[in-house]
Amino acid sequence: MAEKEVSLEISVLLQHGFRYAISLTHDHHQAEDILQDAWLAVMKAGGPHSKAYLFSAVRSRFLNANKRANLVSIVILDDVEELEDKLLDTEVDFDVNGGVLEIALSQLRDVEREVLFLFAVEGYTAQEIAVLTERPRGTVLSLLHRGRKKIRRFVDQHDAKVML
Amino acid sequence: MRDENLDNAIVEHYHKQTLTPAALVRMEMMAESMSEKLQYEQKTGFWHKRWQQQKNLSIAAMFVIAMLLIPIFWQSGDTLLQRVAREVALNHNKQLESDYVSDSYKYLASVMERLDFLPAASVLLQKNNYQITGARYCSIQGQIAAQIKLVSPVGGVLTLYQTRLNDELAILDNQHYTINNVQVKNWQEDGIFYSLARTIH
Repeated sequence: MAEKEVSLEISVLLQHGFRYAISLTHDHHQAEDILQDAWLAVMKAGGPHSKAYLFSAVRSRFLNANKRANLVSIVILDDVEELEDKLLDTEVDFDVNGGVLEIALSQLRDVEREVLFLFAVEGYTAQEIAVLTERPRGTVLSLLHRGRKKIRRFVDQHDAKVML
Repeated sequence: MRDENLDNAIVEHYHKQTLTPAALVRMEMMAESMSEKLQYEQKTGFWHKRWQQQKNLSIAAMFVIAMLLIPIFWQSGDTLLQRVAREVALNHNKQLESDYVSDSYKYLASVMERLDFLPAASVLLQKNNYQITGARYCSIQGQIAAQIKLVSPVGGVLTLYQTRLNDELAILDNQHYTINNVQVKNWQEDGIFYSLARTIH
């Protein structure tokens, strides 16, 4: 993960941080708030202006902000598949041009979106994501697989509806 | 949808998500002002530390100076009576041998040529019948004086000091002071300042 130590231009770094925050929150306003808090913390600490450092700050603020929600909403692993099915069977009124993927991503859990983003957009390996998110590599791979699967199913479902 | 295509779609989707220009400018300005603030704090932090060090040194130096000056001020804070009494009592307690052994003031006056007055018997002491045993030179407040040893008929050694009367010593006329178990009595007669020291038990 040599890239993470590279000091980036501030505007580029902020855009990376914002996209990461979006992947966690799936909400522009919340992402902006979290990024601003994280950025302030990075500045106060005197840097470094690295992606990994900013991502870590963003992530900890997101977790703190959602601690209460996470504590209340406990999902038992055995029920995950069932929950996924329920989510995907839900009738979603979406505009294809407006972004099927956008809605599909909204159906994912935060952790799944985060892993997909870090893997697909930032190009991190499963091991690097495991380090950053403090999860076992196997869990990361599982989240990646499950996220992709959900999106595929959602898009297929959408395509079928369009054909009809 | 294959994984690769899906990932490309995800990349494309997230690349469309950008921070609003206003937010970007705001955060860049935050970075700029924070950087200036940090630089200022580093700079002022340095000077603050230097100032603290200087302050601590100054306090230590002032303490040392104060410790040195306290005895001086302590002494200078004494009254003239106290200073003279302390000097007289100190010499009395030393009980130094007389340089000129005699029982006559006339003899002492003839041999103690450095004195700027003539030692004389005090009228005030006549009734006590003190016996002179000898004398030596000394000083009172920087002025040359005669330190005369007397023996009381009832026992005990007393020290009589005589020096030329001046304006300063004149104000001590008929004043008493006791210090370190030594009673000091001052008076003046015919241009001579007298000070008698007696150990009290």
